[in-house]
Amino acid sequence: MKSDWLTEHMLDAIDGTLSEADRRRFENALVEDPAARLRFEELSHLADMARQLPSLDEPVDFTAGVMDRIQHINHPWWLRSWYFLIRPHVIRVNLLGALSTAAGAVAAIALGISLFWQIEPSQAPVPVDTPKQYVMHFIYDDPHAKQVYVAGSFNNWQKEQIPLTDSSGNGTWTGVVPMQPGLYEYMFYVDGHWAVDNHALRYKDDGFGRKNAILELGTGNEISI
Amino acid sequence: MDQTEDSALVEAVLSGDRDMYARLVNRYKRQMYNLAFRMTANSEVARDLAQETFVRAYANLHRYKLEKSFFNWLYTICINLTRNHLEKRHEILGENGDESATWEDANPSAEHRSPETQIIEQQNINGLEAALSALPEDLREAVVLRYIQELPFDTVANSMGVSLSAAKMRVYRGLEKMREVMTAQESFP
Repeated sequence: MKSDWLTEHMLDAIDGTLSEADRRRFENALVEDPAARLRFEELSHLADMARQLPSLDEPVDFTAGVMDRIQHINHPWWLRSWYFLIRPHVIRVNLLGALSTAAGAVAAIALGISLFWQIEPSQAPVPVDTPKQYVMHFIYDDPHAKQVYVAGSFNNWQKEQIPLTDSSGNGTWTGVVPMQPGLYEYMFYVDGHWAVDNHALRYKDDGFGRKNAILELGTGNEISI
Repeated sequence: MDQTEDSALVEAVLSGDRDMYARLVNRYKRQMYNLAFRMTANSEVARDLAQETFVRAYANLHRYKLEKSFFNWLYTICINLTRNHLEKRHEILGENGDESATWEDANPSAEHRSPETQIIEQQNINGLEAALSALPEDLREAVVLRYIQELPFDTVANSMGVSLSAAKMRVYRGLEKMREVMTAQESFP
């Protein structure tokens, strides 16, 4: 009977989750049963060994492999639309582009009205074809960091020009940078040291034993107007 | 893991921001890869299973309930894929010499440790892996989930579709069996 009780509570004892009363009873029972004590010690040791088995490094191209494979998988359009509508967005407005678009819309309406009423259209502004602007969200996770900046080829690698902020205080530093289409390299500058963006999809050796993250804008999902 | 952030990332992906999925992959790829490796002892199979886990999760992302744990959801997909793989291939750890890979093969960073440390570590790891490989799949899964992946017992029970007491019994029987194997092989350190 005592042996059954020991067996029943062996795992809880290994995990250290016995109540205080049960822990005392368990220890007393082990004193009276040397074989059970040996079994308990060996099983505890085995559990510790299993816990300490080293974590394996996944293959370096693991994420890229997954991202390649999901490129052809599309979620239903209505689902994308729904989540797009209910999510907050940061929208960068290109004032010149917006004005041009507005002027174009006014011109189109004026043209429509003039055709309907057979009135000569007035001289409408011609829409200007301006390049797209992108909004890049940079995110860096480090609960111990005190100051985080992002720097790259888009700002001539000026280390302390673009700060990231940890507004929630949970170690997630974020920053938004308006950018033109192009291929950029960047790193984070954290408390006086360069740090790699571990979440980037592509990297390039920087010649100093580190990796610059690669950012390609022009096919991205950022919102532009 | 931050469930709120996971849910926000899932919403971003579902709204069309596909690149955000890379953050979810980066966050959980190690756990999935390690789970698959410990169950199959094959680094290539483990990579394929772990990657397939993320691809299946992406394809079915609209079925994921945002209030639930994304990690647990991934885990369920990964363990189901691994079970199916093991059933199909009738793989038993250690018996397939051509396909099985050692910890050293799968973890090149081990080369950076001193030779003495590596030998001792390797002996312990080999003994443990051999004992693990000798377990029936259900006991191996229970031990892997509880002590290698360090999941709480209720999660182990849910993942295996058994009661809490049944999950504990499987873990206990798994440890007992491993102890017998390691004692017989004199590989208990």
